[in-house]
Amino acid sequence: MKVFVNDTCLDLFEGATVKDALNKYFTAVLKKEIKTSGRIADLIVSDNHGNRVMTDGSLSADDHIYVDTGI
Amino acid sequence: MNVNIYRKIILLLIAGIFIFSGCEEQETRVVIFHTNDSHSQLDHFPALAWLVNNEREMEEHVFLVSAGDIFSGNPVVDFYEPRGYPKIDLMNRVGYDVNTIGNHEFDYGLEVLADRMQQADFPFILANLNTAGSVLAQPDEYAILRAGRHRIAFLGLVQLNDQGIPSAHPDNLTGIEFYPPVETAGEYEFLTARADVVIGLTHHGFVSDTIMAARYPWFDVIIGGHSHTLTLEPEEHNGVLVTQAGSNMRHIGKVTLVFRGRRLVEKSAEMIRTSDIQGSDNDIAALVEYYNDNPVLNRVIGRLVRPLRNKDEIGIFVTDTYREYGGFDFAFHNYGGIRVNSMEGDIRVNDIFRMDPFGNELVSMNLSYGELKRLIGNSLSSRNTPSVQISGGTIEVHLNEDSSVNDVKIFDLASRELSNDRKYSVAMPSYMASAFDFEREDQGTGMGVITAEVVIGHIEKVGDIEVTYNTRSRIVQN
Repeated sequence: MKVFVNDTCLDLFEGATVKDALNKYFTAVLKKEIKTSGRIADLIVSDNHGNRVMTDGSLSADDHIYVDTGI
Repeated sequence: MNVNIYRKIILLLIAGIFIFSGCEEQETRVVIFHTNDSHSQLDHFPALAWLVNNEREMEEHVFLVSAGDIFSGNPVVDFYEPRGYPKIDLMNRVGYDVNTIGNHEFDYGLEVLADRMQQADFPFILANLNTAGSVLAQPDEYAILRAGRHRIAFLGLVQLNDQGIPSAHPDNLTGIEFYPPVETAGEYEFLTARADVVIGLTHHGFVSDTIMAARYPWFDVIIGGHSHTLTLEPEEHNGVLVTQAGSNMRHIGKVTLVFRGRRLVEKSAEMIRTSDIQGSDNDIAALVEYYNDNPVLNRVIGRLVRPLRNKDEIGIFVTDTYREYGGFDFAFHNYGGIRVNSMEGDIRVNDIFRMDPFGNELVSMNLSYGELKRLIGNSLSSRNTPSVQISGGTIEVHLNEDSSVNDVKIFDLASRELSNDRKYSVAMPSYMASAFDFEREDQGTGMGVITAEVVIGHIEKVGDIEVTYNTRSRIVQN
């Protein structure tokens, strides 16, 4: 399924969570690996309504999420 | 004016006051606390109980509802015998009024779900399914709760994935037919005639909630789940109040409805951070402590006949269990996801969660030989060794004279190099499926089971584990 992180389209497996999307975004797009899942849980992620979404949240196709990449 | 006229005026004024107060519509407040995606968490129950009981002392009409996914995410609950029992016990004691069936409610299997629904003192609701072909009794589509003379309807809906089923292991959904949630909601406008307020108690994500609000403005409120969205500020979409309380009970949502006469004149939402709650219910805290000391987690579930001396050997063990779990051609696990350096002797549930603590889901996909080569090729360490363990075959990394990688070859169990003419079924943890960057057609499908659970299930089935150690990857210098 396709989801968007900071408006970049990513292909993810069906059933992926916010954490999976961030893993892909950081490694495939920013070429930065987040070494522990604890650091991912600390990221502030929001949806396109400006609401915060938890990193263990489920994603659906075409969801948009936004994350501050300054870690 | 004489005294009689004064008396008449005073009497008329008094009568007017009585008449006026008799006509004034009575105001009723209804408070609805809500949680969603609590995922087997127990530790916040003492604070929740204190909060709700405190409110019940001040307000006549207080409800507590859940928008699904009460199970999966905490081994204390997930491996309790019977599975999920502590969660329902605590929900009963705190006084939940209704729960929508989320996708993770199916994780323990339909028989266990049926048992947990029996255990619950509150209804499990869901409208977009037909369980006639399964062992699960058809749940009520909605629940109507009474607050004095007011009736509040809650309609249950769950998300569906691209395969048209909730995100759970398909084996746990056998015989159940599911229908699209938003379209299904449209069939329940009649609830507006049966209740003073209609609330969607949904588990299909915030975006779907806003679509539902746009399409059906006859919903007064939508209390959602699944996307773990935290609506810190109240949100109205098309006049419908839409709210969701994050996940794991780190926040408790509170919706307040105000009626004047029979009319709903005010609706508001707020979010309470659980760590900010000032009190704790001692009885509930004692029960949580009792459940957290779950002896099941320390129960021996099997035994390693021979020690696993390093991550390579542990990787062989876990990838073999993945491959067997789904009858896959190949299975992989990244060494970085193995958090102990050796294992030996008796194995307990806790040992597996220490070895694999990340809660990764097992993901299946179909890959060509070229795609498998890219997976391995992109995962090589600085010393050109694969950073993943394989089950179902062996890997050869061919190096040039200058030690640069010339080729990656993969062989099956019969030592035949893989074919370019077919696809191979593959399983791997969700971390690899997302963080390992290799181009492929099939992005895969989550299997609705976490990798640690696959390993535990295998050990429970086999008992004595004898891992045959063989080198599964080697470097060939050309």
